[in-house]
Amino acid sequence: MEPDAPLAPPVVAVVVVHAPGPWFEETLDSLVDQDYPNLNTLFLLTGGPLDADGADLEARILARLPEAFVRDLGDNPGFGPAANEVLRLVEGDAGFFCFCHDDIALEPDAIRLLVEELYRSNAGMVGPKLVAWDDPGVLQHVGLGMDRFGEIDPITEPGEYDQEQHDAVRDVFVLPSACLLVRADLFRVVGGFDPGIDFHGDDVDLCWRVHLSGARVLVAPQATVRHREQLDVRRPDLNHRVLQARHRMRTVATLTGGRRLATRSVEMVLLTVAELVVGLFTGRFGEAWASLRALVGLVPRTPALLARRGAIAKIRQVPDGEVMDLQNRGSARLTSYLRSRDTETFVGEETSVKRWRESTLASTLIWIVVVIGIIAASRTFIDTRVPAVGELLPLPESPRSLWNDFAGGWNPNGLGGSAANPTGWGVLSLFSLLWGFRMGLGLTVIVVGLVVLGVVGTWRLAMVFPSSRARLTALVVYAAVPLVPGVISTGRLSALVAYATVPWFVHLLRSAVGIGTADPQLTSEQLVDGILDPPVRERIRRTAVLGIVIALGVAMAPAMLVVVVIVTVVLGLTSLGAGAGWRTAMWFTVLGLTGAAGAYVLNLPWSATLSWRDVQAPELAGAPGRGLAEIVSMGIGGARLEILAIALYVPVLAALAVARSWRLTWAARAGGLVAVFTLLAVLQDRDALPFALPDVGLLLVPVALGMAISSATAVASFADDVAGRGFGWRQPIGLAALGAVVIGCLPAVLTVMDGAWFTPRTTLDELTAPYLAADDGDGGGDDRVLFLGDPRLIPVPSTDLGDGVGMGVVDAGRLDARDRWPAADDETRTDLAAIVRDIATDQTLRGGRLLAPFGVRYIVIPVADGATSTLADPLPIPVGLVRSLQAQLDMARERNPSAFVVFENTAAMPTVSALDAAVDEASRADTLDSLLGVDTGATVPVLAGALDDLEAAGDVPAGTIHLGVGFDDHWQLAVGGADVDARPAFGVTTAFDVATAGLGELTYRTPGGRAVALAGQAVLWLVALVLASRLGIPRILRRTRAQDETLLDLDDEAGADLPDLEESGLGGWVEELLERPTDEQRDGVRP
Amino acid sequence: MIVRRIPVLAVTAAVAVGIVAVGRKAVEPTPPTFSAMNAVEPWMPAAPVVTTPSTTWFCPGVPASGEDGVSGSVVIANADPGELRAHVTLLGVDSEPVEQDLTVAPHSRTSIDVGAAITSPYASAVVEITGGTGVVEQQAVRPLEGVATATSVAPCTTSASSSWYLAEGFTAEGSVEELILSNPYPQSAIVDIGFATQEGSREPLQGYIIPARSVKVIDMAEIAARDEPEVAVSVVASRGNLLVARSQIYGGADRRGFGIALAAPAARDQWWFADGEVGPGVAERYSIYNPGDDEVEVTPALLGRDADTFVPIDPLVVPARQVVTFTPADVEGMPEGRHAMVFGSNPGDLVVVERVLTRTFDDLPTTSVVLGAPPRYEDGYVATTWTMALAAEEAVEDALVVYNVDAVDAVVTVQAVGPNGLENVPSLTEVGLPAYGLTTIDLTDEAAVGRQLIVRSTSRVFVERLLPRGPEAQGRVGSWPLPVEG
Repeated sequence: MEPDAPLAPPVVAVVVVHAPGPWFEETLDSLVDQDYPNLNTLFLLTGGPLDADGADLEARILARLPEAFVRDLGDNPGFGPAANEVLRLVEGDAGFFCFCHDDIALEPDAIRLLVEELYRSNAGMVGPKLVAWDDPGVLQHVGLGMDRFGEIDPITEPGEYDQEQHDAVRDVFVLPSACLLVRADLFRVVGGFDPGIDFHGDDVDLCWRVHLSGARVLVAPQATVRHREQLDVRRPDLNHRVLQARHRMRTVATLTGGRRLATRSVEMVLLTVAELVVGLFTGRFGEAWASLRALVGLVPRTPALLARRGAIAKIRQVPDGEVMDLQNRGSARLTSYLRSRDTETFVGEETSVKRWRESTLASTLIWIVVVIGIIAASRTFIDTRVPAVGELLPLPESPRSLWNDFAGGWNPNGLGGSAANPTGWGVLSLFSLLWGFRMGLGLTVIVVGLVVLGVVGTWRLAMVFPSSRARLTALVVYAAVPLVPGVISTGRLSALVAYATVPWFVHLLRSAVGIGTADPQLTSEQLVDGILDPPVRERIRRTAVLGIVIALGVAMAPAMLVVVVIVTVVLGLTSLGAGAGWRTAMWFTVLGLTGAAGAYVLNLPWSATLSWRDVQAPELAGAPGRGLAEIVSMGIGGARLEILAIALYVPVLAALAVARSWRLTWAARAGGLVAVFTLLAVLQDRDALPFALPDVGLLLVPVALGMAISSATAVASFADDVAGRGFGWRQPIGLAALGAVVIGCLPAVLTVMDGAWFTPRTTLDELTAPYLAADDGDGGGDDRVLFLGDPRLIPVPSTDLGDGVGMGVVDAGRLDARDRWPAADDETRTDLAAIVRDIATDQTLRGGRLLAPFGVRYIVIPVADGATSTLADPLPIPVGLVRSLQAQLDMARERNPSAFVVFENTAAMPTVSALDAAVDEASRADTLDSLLGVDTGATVPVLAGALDDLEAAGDVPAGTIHLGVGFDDHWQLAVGGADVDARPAFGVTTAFDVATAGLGELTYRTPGGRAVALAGQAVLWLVALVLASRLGIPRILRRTRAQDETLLDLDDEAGADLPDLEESGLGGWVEELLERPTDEQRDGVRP
Repeated sequence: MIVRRIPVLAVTAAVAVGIVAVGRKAVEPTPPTFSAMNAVEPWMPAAPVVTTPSTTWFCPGVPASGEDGVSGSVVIANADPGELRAHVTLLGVDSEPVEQDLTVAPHSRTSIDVGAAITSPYASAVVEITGGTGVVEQQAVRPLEGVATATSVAPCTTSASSSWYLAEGFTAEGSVEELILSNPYPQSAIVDIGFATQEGSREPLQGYIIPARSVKVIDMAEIAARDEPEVAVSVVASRGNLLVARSQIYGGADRRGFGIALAAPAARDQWWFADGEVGPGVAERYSIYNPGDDEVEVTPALLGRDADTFVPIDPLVVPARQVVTFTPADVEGMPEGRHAMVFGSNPGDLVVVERVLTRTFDDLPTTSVVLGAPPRYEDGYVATTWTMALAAEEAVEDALVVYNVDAVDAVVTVQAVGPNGLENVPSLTEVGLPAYGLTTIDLTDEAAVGRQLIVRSTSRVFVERLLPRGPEAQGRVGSWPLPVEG
């Protein structure tokens, strides 16, 4: 400090710096230019020693401010905790701290004016007028109001121009931490910033405590500071919404007076519930959800909160009522809801900007209509249950057993086998929490939930459009396409999973790429995407979320993996074709494929057992005979008037024709999805592809999404690219597109009226149940059912037998959701298929005996499931099937409804049985042919339920105990306490030779490797969740480079012995200070 | 126009045009096929050519009443070099099935005396062969008036059917016609039985139950087909499969004889006969039965004569569910002598044709009924090789009648399965057979007597065998050997 500088109390400008960008030069310059005569600067580095461009930050600072103190904190504990370092590094109470963000630029007189006003008003804290960085004529903040719930109420409107309307000095409740001046002693007394608040709300908490201490908090608008205010852009890794809510709750919980705390707590609960309800219908559910999370999160933090309240009690100097008087009445949050006051970050060309978010009542109304429509269309499901059709099989009765099946090493599907069980079983088991473990309700929740999830995903994806109309169009179109009733009515759960997942996939993928909501005020034709590259960590996080979402989808529907890979490629290519640049295209491709690969890895080890046949559509003898119109209109199920949906192709072409700017890019992406997947669906349906693809239901999901996005693009383009122009060809096209959207959505009305998504009222599962009951009075033995016929009608994943015939094996009894996953019994199933082929080729008329070791008692030929095939229009029974089975000497055709044909195997053996001597001898051969001359019908069931429960006990006779599963020595039999070795039977199955009759215990011992595999999978999921989270390094583990040293003692500084604030009045040095210094003086006080 | 719009719009439009172009024409669905061989109507009894895990033969039924002179047997012939295992189940009327296992030594035949194992008016047999190929035929013997033993040989079949048809039936002049319905399956079969006479058609038995693993015998006279000179029968199961055979005992002045043979498992549009004769002492008649609902036009054609003896025959109109007879001798210009015949109708116009041939020697008529032989349904296959477990047990002249279907001269060789395996019959190694020609073959060579025989031709042929009625009886009974599946 120059010796002739006017005497003034010391001010330490505390700047918390986190990897700043080029703007930081202006921040430094503004500090250099300060005319305050006694200013010290302390820079606290929280983002490492380098800036955003990799330059040495300390050198950069010292080059401009050679006397500045610079300390690297090693990591970023958050603004408040970082700023609190000043309490250790600077001693003394005389003087002030001026806390600054690293993205502000102070006017040269800002600090001086703040100090002056602080003295003049005898305040404890004072803050400047914050204006926009790029446009100082636009106000950002002039202090902040706050309600009793900690909710900020900005005094200024976003984008409000500064016309000196807020230039009066006034008391405010909160000063933004971007720049505030606080008395050093006061700051020490109140304990600095709350160390428990890292980002968001640190200023609220500090100011509230200052109020409690009795000090005034003022805004001095004469002091002006430019502020970038882009924390959400600079730190996308933070969940800002959650942090805001959490810290708001914390502040209220710790600073509200004790007498009012109970009342406030109840109010908070009620308010949060109200937020949830209002948020649901205003598109701000995320904020309400964050509030709920924060509220619930207070519970486990109660001890810490109580301790904090205890500490704060010491600084309370004024009654709580007086502080409340300074707060706004009512709820700022609800007020903002009702006023639709909210801002949103829009992305331009590598920049982002906050603007008013368009919000209309139409959004609320249409959301209500869509939700009610989905509920109405599902009302039969809700009233009763989801009919068991196709893949829509009821959930197992117990989530615990489902989990045990997943965790165990035995896959009971098909003929059973030791295998890595589907991840989907674990997912379903865990998700059963959602329906309160009421498994009967679970399928309804899944079906309705998947529809809602898909619609919400589309809404989120449509956030790329700044216009509510466009978003709502996407929402409505995606909800209204006939694909939804098509896939539900035919029980295509896989397609429904894709319907729910694909929009989220595209949304998360574009988010990971960095594509945000385009700035509606940017009219540049060259703006091909509103894109802003996220930091690496954030990109990794978003990709991890992407991977998890796909993994969940793949766990339920393996074919999803193929669909998302194709979607990824299409998005990459169309981005390139639309001029989005190779970098965007590359990111689309790389991140999409990475997400898909991650999904595959997260589903290991089960995913390693998948083969192409598990993801492809059922193999038919040829084309199923659907016409082009049925495919393009998505008429693959029971929907009505679906032909009208062809109109939705009009906006696809119209959007491509009229859209401009970034809308054209999205029109191209959507058009690409529609074109490629429609083409694939048509070719697949005509059996014209050289390879098999997933079911046409899955292939049409991206088409539906493309239509939704195209329709939204058409609507957005009509407003932005067509309406304002002179009349020409664009107007008719635009109008035609809008009309087509309306026409295309009409079939949804009929779907809503049906109330059950056109699912059949009576299902094949119900009809077959009496015939295939697990306990059919045959003596308690367990049996299996062999389904033969058109694979589209077989209720479980089928094995292709060629020429359009499939085969599936299930345990007798009702099917459940587990059965829809492919079985893991390849070798044994191959043997079974060989027998069926022998029957087909008249190689034997003793097919029943050959099927006996597999426990097959019934052979069912489905004819009409009410969905894919109806009695009025049945799919043909495979040629020669009935005749071949009828020719068998050991199969008896049952009398049954015309919806299916049942043969009973009169030579059947229970799945666990004691063999008689003749069959015993035959079992020692290594071929099933040994059974041809043996009557197998005399075997005796034993140890019933063993294959279901994986253990059973009971009396077993001497002789051979046979298990109708492929040879597997994980099955262990002990009789009278002595283990009996397993041996192969008939060269295929498992048998035990029991020497002496006795009490037998049959158990399945899970392979040791299964536990290791499960642990590995758990680790993979944990890693993915950590990557997908915003978790940082715990504070306790962070490195702290700042040494516990005193950099500055305010009490030793010149001016420290000036009179106390209360004593100074407006005389002495203050008057001198209030005189604006000359340029020469200003130069003289530069550090 | 924004430049980047052009490629996107062009590609999308091109794909759209492509989709429309590709999908413009609807693709007919392809029905799934489980079993091509079971997709079509069953063929005539035939011998499988390859080894299968098991082959099941169904024998239509032989008398097993235990009466004097009445007997029946099932003969299993094994031409393979390995032993053959067989499990035989005998089904009777109102009696429990009788099962037995046996083995057949290589290159040999084994006969099962059915009457010794089961007592029943008629018993049918199910022979399940494992471990090799083999052919099974049945032989029935019963005394007739004036004849000590009348023997009937018929091949067994490897496939049951849900429908069976008989075009020829005769209950006049004291003749007895019985239907033998065998159900070898573990569930009851339910059938509708109808017949057609000169007065029209009737369906006297509907929902008739044949219990599982049993035999039912129906006397046609008892179901109102008494004293009918022409009775065609249809047996159609509404549930299950079965086997239907006819036991015919001719007792009149014009017809005399005994025969048991399988009915036709399906109506067809072509029926071939290798044997036929016009001349003194020979009565040849064909019965053509139309079980369908539409009138059918059937054209008979005379075969096996010189090309210059073409005899035009007017088509025959067979009304729905009616039977029409055709007598070659009634055709103007019909030459005397042996001939073959074929009856053809338009594709899809299905009929059943049987031939009744009565040859009279020493004032004793000998009548035999033979169902025509159809080409295989799915591919029109006609065998070049025929086999028979039962051939001449004594030297017989004109025992085989062979008709050459093809327009090329052919060579026929007869082989016998001897102790050392398959060997040519020395005198029958290269028998000439002209194109579209007919020939008869004597089985007088010692090497051919009492053995399983195989007839091989260089062309496609139909082969009928004419076996003696009995050791002491005059006359022959015609039947088809087993064509070998190709």
